This record gives sequence, structure tokens and C-alpha cells, in this order.
Amino acid sequence: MNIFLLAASVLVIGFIPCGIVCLRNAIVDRLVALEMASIIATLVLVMLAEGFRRGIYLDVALTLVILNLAGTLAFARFLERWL
Amino acid sequence: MSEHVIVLMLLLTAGVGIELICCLALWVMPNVYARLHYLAPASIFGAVMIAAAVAVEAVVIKDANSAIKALLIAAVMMVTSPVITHATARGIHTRDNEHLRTDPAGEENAS
Repeated sequence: MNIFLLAASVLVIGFIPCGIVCLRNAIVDRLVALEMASIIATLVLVMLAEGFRRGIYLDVALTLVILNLAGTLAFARFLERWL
Repeated sequence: MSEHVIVLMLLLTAGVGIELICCLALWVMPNVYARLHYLAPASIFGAVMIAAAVAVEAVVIKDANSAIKALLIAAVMMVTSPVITHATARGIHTRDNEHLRTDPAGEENAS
């Protein structure tokens, strides 16, 4: 259990407030909580990659950070016009 | 305890602490515009500190590949975060103020 795995386990706790906001609040608050959850997920993947000492797992995090941009812009445009 | 482990502990504590405080603030804030502010420290401060910790560890293990990739992830997050925040805020504001819509009847995307 090295320090990166421990830090990743602690950071996963950050999903809980995002989940509560997603469950309870209005639709635009849910989008903001989804964005925060995407950031937390990317950072958890980065720390897990170093914790297991496999450099290739960082490619997953790099893909995720780019897809966050695309997905969030799609949701924001959708909420602006049609929902 | 060697120096690089102390540096790692400091960076990781600071980075994870900032992220958790931003998540807590997201939950507690009263309206959506206030919640949107807390994406910035999460995606910029927290990401840079955690990527710096990963880079320090990778350089000590002599794995420069992982260090560069981690810093690249932090750099992409720093560039995309203001774009995301701005687009979301604009979408929310336009949703609430119908008179500001640029295309009210939906003619742009109509086939």
C-alpha cells in the first residue's frame, strides 16, 4: 500500500458530495457536479497509475480529460437550448 | 525518511485536501453560479499538485515517460477548465434569460 494508492483512496471520498448534489438539486447543479466528478475521476486515475507503477495507465487519464471537454460542452449546449 | 517521500507527502496532502474542500464547497453553496466557482481550484491547483507529485516519483524511479504524461494531463486540464466553466455559465444564464437567446425559434439546426 504505497502513498499514491492511499491518496487515491482518500480522493474517492470526494465523489460523495458530487453524488449528493446530483441526486438532490436542480438540473444545472447536476451538470456542475458532473464536471467536478470528471475532474476527480481523472486525478484518481493519475494517482492509481503511479501507485501501480504502470506508465500506460496514464493514457486512460489523458483520454478522459479530453473527453470531459467534449461531453461537458455537449451537455451545456443541450441544456441551453432544449431542456 | 528520505526527502522525496516528504515532498510527496506534502504535495499529495495539499492536492487531495484542495480537491476535497472543493467538493465540500460544491455541496454547501446556495446557487449554481457559486458552485461553478469551485471547479477552478479543483482543476488547476489540485491537478497541478497531484501531477507534480506523480512527476517527482516518476523522476526518482527514472521513468521520464510517466512524468511527462502526468504533467501533460495537468496542462490539458488547465487549458480546458476555463472553457468548460465559461460554456456552462453561458448555457445556464441563457436558459434563465429567454430574451438573450441567439436563436429563439430554433432555426439554426432545423433541417
